[in-house]
Amino acid sequence: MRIKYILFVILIASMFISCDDNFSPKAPYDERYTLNCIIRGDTSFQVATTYISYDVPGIDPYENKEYSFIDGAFIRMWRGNDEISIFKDTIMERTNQSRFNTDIKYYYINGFVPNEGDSLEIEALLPNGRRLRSHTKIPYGVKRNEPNSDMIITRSSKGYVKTSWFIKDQNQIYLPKLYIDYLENENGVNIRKEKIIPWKKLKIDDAVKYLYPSPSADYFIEYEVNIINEAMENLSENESENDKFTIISAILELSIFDKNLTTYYFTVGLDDNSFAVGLDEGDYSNIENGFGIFGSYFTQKFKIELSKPYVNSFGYIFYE
Amino acid sequence: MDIQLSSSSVVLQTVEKIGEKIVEKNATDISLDRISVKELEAIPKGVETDVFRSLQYVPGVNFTADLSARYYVRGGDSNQNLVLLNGANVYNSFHAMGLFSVIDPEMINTMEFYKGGYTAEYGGRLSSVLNLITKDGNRTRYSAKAASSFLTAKGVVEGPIPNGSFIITGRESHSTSVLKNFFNEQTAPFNFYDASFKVNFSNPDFISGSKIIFHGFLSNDKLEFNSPLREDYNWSNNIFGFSWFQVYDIPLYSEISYTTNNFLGKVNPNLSSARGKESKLNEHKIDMKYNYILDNKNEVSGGLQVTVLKAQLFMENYLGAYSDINEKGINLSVFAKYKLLQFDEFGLDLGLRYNIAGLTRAGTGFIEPRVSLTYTPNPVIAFKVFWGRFQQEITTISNENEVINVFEPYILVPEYLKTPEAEHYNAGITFYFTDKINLVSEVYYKKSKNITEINYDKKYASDYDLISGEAESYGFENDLNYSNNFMHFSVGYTLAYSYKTVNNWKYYPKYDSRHTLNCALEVNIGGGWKSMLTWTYKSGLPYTPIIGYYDKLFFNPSAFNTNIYDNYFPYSVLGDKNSTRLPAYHRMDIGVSKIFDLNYFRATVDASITNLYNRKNLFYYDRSTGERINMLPFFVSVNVKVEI
Repeated sequence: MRIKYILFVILIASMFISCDDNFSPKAPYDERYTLNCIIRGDTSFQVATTYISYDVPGIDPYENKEYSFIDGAFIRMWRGNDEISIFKDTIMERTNQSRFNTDIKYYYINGFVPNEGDSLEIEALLPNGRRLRSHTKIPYGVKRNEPNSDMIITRSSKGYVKTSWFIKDQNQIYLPKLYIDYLENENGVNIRKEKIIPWKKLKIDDAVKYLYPSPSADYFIEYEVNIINEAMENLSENESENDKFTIISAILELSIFDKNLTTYYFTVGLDDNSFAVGLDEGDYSNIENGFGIFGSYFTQKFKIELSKPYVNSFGYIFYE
Repeated sequence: MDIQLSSSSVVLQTVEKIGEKIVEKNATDISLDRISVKELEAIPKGVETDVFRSLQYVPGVNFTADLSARYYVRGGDSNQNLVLLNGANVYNSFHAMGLFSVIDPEMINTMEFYKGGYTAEYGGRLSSVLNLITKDGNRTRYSAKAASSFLTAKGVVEGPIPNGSFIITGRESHSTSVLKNFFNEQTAPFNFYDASFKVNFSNPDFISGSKIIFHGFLSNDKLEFNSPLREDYNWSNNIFGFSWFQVYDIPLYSEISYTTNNFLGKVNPNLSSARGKESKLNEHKIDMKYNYILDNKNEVSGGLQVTVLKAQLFMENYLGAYSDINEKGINLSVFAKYKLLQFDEFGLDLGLRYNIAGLTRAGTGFIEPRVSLTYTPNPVIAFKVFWGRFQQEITTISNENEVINVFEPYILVPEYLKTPEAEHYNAGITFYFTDKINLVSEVYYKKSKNITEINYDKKYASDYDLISGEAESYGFENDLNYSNNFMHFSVGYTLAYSYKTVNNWKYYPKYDSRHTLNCALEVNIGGGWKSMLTWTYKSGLPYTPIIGYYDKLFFNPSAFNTNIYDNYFPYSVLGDKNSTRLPAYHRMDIGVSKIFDLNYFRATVDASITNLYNRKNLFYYDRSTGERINMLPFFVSVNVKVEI
């Protein structure tokens, strides 16, 4: 009885072996277009790209080795009602050729300095007659919350150095960057440089890892004094003469993202919980008739003084 | 003639008799499945015997993956299922992010599962009710059980106390390496436990005709990577309750109970790029039920239920918009029922449930009539029908696009939405061909409106979290059972259709499977050996196809830069939602168990093979890499149980 039963189970099971089926998760290809342009507040050189969607024979999109950049697009950008900028195309050398071995192509305008509150509109006319359009508004700057901010770092500074600011719009995010603004004497010439200060220092499995701030809705940031001190020391780590360095100040650079870029950043820059498996992820875009992003960020700088005794304690020259 | 007799031992089949309702033939029990502990054990255990996973063999119940114990009943969402443990609502009742239920089968005495058509004493959900009553504990002697699987170790202690009994159960994970089978070889350092107790007391000198019960249930799940760059997860349920059953001198009995439930679910992102989330629920519930039996066997019953629920939630959605919800509601509802039982061939349950005060303002004043009817013209056949209305005032913010959903917080239905409601129309025929063979066939139609769906377009905190939609489902279910002393065989077949309409777009929900076939065979081979076999076939679930790819601009969250020159990665362009189907799912599990009866204790060794023929059931494709992720592979598991 027992043997017959076991044989019966094996017989049934064997009926299903090699029942695996081929399945493709794809439906017939349908062509789409993208336009990407992020207007930067920290430069006057602005870049845009246009791409076409593609298909691959299998299901691994990395099989695609054909660069899908759209040449010959006519891209214009309006500021308000009267100023118009026309993007030119150019190329640059690709350093990472793991996917494509062609040069990188992009469109650009030079000399475009965004001002806070500017209303911008962009239109890309593709060679096949398709138009991709979008608009954005350069975000307004913020005011430092001075009573709640450390305005100077001295030798007696302990714990954290905090900078906070007043929020005007709850739906924006901010990216802080703290750096030391200094001059380095190279062959008798003072060269202006910046040393970026990490936000956190972690020790993981005996290895040290430095973290830098990510964009967030937080309206303040705190840097550990110890990490600032370490960055100050590291300025001269390859130099024996500390008096080659003249320290001007510390600068907290704050980039304020507009609403479009804020929303886009959340869809591509943050993980959801790593055990959640999403299939039909939302695909945020503010481009009419296509995918991509037209966004902007405005950058402003807050000076944090470094006291003379503090600068001198590292053997550097205080900038006066 | 000299014949020598040799000694031999015969191990008889185990008989475990626990409280069991005698089902009258005029019982109004359409769409009700009573699942016994014995039936739970007749399913190959796999990693762990699971109460919720056992439901997948019930016609009309659907699962979307081997990796989740979440269940969907007759086209309803998983948040439309009510789980009651000794009368207390259980929220987010899962271990290991949905892999298993928190309910340890060792503590369960009776399990009633209404797939719909539940009568007026139950309310608050649109789809189903799973009513779990735990064991009272052994009233005659002390006993203990200990069991271990690849995943957990557990123990049960029970015994008599003066005028009553007690039972304590506990289960804790000791190794989670077996869970790699569930998480595509990903390390999942889960640490979980659950524990329960129940004490009952019945002393005629204290209150004559009374039985007083205290019970509690605790569960906790932690997932900690011990790295500041990884997020931590923490879930806990704390339930405590008290019940007083009273039988009076007249044919009246009552039950008064109080339960409290605290749920906490938290995702702490630490310094990772995960999003922080926190959900807290605090519920207090008082139930009063009275049942009076008339001289003609008919019954009149009524009751009152008061629920105070506080829900707090903080989370960010995928667009970065946060939800900060802190709300409290008080529900006061009453029900009344008349059960016509005086005729042997005919049974009628006429009931009404009324929300005097709703948890939400919109839920106040809702009337839920329920009618259930059974007609048994002869011993071979019984006809059953049901019609009723249902309302649900709590819901979840769950992302239907996630094939594994690890965070499903409950909130009150927001004031800007109407209260979800449903109507059930059920009809069935039960054939009792012989005392060994029966066939239950049912058809159902369920129409729901104002159901809640997540607002995927929520960009700002001020935007609404939820939007409303409609759902419709209908189907035909069949369950054939054959039992004799040596074997039990069952076949269940379901033909089902379900649709959702949201934002004027009608689509199949992710759990819509057209055909489902479940077979289960349990054979008592003899000599203490028992074997189990199950086979499940499910036609393909809906899937959103890829219609191409484009290179999407990404940012590095830890070092944001605006390199828009070449920071592009492939991203799928999707077609219409759920417009195609995955391949069919099928899987065979087998198990064998052997009981060793030794002098002072009994040991049960149970081995099972999951996915015997290693069917590569497609779970999903990773859209960014094209990697195919399959469901559970072939694997062997062993459980050992020792009873003193």
